[in-house]
Amino acid sequence: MTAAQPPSSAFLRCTQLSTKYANRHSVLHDVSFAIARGERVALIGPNGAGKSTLLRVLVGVQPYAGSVSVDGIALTPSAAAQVRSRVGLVFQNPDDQLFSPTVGDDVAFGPAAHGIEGDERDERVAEALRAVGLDAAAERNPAHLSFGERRRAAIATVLSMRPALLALDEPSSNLDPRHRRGLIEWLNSRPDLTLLLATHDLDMAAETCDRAILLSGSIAADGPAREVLSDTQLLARHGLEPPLGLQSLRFRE
Amino acid sequence: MLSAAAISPERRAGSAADPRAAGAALIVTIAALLLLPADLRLLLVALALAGLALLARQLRRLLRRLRLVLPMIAVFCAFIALRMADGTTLYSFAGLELTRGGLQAATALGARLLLLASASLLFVLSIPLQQLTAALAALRLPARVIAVLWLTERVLVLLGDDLRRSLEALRVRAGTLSRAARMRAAARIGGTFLLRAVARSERLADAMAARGFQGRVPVLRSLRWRSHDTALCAGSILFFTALWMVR
Repeated sequence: MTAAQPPSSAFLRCTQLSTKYANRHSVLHDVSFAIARGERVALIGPNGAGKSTLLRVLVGVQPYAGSVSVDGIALTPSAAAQVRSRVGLVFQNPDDQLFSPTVGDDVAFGPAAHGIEGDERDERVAEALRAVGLDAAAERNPAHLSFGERRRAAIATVLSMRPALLALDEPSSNLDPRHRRGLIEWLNSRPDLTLLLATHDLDMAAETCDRAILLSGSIAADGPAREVLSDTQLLARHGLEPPLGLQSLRFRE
Repeated sequence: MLSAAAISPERRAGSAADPRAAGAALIVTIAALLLLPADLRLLLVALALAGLALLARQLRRLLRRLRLVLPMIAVFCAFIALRMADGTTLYSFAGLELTRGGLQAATALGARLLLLASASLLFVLSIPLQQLTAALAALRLPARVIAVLWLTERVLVLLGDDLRRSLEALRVRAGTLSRAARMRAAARIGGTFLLRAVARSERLADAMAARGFQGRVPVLRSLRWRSHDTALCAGSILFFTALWMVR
C-alpha cells in the first residue's frame, strides 16, 4: 500500500518530517503526509512507532526537522501560538492535561491563554462541558473525577479552543467498554471534526476514521481504513494484532 | 483577623469577598502574633481563629492539616527548651538541662507558631486557589511565582498518587524481604520518584504549552473590592491595635 497523494487543499501537511527523542534515538524519519479539512485519520502502529511523538510535533512541543504547516501556517516557534489555536491535542494521560484547581478553570485555560475573555469564554466552557456530558462538573476538582470523566474533561479542555483539528492520543486506553463506546459514539456524532486519532485500538479506528496511516518510524502504509485495517499480513509485519472479529468490524461509511 | 464573610467556602465569583482583604487580615494577624506577649491574649487569638474555622466549616480540615505541622513545631520547641538555661533546673539528662525559663520560652514560642500555622492554613483552606492567584496577580506578583503556586496543588496530588502507587507496588512484593532490604528498596523508590516527578512536570509543561500557555497564568476571576472588605481590614486592624494597647 503506497502513501496517498497529499490533497492539494491540505489542512495539515507534513513534509520529510524527522524527529529524535532526547536521548538522540531517531523516532520518526522522512514522514510525509497531508490531511484535508474534515478528514478523519487513524494513526496506527506498535509501541515506539512515533504516534504520540508525531502528535507532539503538531503542537510545537517536540523539535523536528522537515516542514509542518497547519491551515497554511508553517509551524515555527514564532507561529506556534497560531498553530496551537487550530490544533487541539488531547494527551494520552488526562492527568498530564488537567492542571487547574477545577474542571471549569481547566476548560477555560485554553481560551483564556488565547486572549478570549468574558461571555465568549464562558459560553465556550459551557459548550465544551456540555459536549462531553460534564456540565455539572465545572466546579469539581479534577482529582475527584473518575478516569473516564477525566478523559472526557481532557477532551473538553481542547474543545473549548474550538480547534479545526482534534488530535487524540490513545483515547480509549484505560477506558471501560461503556465509556469507550460512548467516546466512539461522540466522535461519530461530530462529522464536522477533522480528526487525527493515534491508537492501538483498531476497532475504534475502523469505526471512527476513513483513512489509516500505519506508522513504524516512517509511514508503512497510508490508505482507506478498510484496506489498511483488513490487511492482516501488513498489520502482523508491524507488530499489530489484526482485530479478532475482522469480518464484523464496523467500518465508518 | 479573617472574617466569616471572607472565608465562607460557599463563595463563588461575583459574590465573593476580595481575597486581598483576607490576605491583609492575615498579615495583621501574623504581625500581632509576633508582637503580642505570651499570655491570655494568645488564648483569645486562638479562640477567635477556632471560631472562624468553625464558622467557615473548616475546623476538621484545619486540625487534620495541623497534624503535619505539629512534629516540626515540637522539635523546634524541644530545641529551644533544652538550649535555654534560665531559672530552676527541672530535669537533666546526658548533659542537657530543662529549666523553668526554657520551658516557658518554648511554650510561648510553641503557642505562637501553632497560631501562626493555624492562621495561615485557615487562609489557604478558605480562599479557593483560583481566587488566590487572581489576587496575587492583582498585587503584581511575578508571573512565574503565581504559576508555581497555581500548579503546586495539582502537582502535589499527582506526585502523591505516584508515590502511593510505588509504595504499594513495593509492599505487595516485599513479603520475604528483611526490614533492611525494604528500607533499601524504599530508598531506591525515592530516586525513581524524583525522576518520575521531573518527567511528569515536563508532560504538564507540554500540555500547557499545547494550549497556548506563554508563562502567564490567565486570570479567570475578576476581583472587586467591596465595602465589607474594607470593614474586614478595618476590623482586623482595630482588633489587634486594641489588644496591643491593653497588653
